[in-house]
Amino acid sequence: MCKAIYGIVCTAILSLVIGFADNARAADDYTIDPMHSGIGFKISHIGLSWIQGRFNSFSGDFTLDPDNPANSSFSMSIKTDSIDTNNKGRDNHLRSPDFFNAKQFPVVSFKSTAIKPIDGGYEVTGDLTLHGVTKSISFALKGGAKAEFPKGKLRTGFTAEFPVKRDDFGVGKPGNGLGDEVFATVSFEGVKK
Amino acid sequence: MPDPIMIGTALAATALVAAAALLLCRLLWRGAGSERASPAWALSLGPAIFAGCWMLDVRPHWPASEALDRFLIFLLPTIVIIEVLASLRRFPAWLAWLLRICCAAGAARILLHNTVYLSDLAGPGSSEWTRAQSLQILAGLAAGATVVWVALVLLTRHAPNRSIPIALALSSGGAGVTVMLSGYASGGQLGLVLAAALAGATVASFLLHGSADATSSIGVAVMTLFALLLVGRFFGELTTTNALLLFFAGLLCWLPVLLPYVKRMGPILRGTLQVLLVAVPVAIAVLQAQQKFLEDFSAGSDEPSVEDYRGYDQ
Repeated sequence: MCKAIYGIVCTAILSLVIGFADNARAADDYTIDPMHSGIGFKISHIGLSWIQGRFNSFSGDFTLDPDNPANSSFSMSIKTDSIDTNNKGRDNHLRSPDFFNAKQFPVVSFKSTAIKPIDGGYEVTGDLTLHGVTKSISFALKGGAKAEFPKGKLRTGFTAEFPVKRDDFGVGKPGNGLGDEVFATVSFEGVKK
Repeated sequence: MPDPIMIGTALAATALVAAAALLLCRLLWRGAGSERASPAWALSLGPAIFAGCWMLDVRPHWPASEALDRFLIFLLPTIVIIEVLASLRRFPAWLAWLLRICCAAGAARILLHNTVYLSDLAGPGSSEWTRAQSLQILAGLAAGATVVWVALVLLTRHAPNRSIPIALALSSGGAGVTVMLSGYASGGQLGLVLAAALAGATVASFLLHGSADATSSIGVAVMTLFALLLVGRFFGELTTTNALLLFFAGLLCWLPVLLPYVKRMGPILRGTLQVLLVAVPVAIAVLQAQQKFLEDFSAGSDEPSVEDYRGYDQ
């Protein structure tokens, strides 16, 4: 009788442990925390210096599957009218159809299509939709360390830097003293759902 | 703003195309007697505007996802066709008016298609206007476009005078500069192109007897100006006040025809007065836009302007 009870208890504990382990391995969903994230860019000005700017309004989600990174995914959307280069006149011009056409194309979006692990992060490939044009881009997403902040809220963070060619997306005309390549920096924290 | 030499060349070419097309059309149509008004103006302005935009790199893209694309691909050819049909003697006058009113009424909806004003582009419920607001605004825009188009066609028939296309050229040029100063540089070039086309056609009309009937130019000029101001207001930072001043300025051409003492003046004096009257609101709009531009862009310092940046090419 005792042996039978012992067997049942052991089986139950084992099931719990296995179940817990399975849960730990399952994919984790995160929501991007805009307060601790930023999307910046820089563009060459007549080959002399870099004009820097950022987008103040964005949102996104991502899913991380440590055991099977191919199941991970990242998506982000940025409001184009939140562009901020610290100059009102220039920002208005950037929002106009000369560049982003924020009233016609109010959102820049990214959705991953393939993810593979690399040293210190992931190589992410996905569709970037900007100015009504969708093109595939790839970049290295570094990070992935985890922390609790505030206590009880698990979060992780990543950073990526990659170039985007304006001409590929029809954002502004070539030349005019501005570089064709815009260097984007995306750094974000996600809070586990 | 592009290189001033490039823009000057493009505007000169636009004026030449308009002038050459007007002369050609008048020669081809001379004595045909099949039209109630000359379609030459519309046939000269349409291609000239297209050519000028092309030279200034304001080219339509397909699919026509942006407002200027839709204007150049759909609206401009439609207006030219309507004005050519309206000029034919066999074409019913009521149908011509109906087509004009339909075009004026639908233009704003076409230009604002698939924008944040009318569509949920940034997620469900994100459109900036409610359905009721959309209807009110589109109805107001349609009424405004129709009133100006009809009023100026009637004026051109009532008192044919080259001063009307000249006044429209003035308001188009002013609108172009104002839209540029309001943060939409390439859009503003459409106004300069229209002004150049009207100027070219007007100069050419002096060379031919009987070319003062500019009825068919009104639709093209008014609706191009309407499209320019609409994109400036809703896609750039053009203020509503400036948009209204520039669009309705042309209606002041009616004053010298209506005022008892002035209407007895000779056509040249009356025409000059018409142009001067239109120049007043246009000048006010340009000055207001310039002031706002300086405030927004460089806060009164001697920093380079947007023209300096856009004109720079290594």
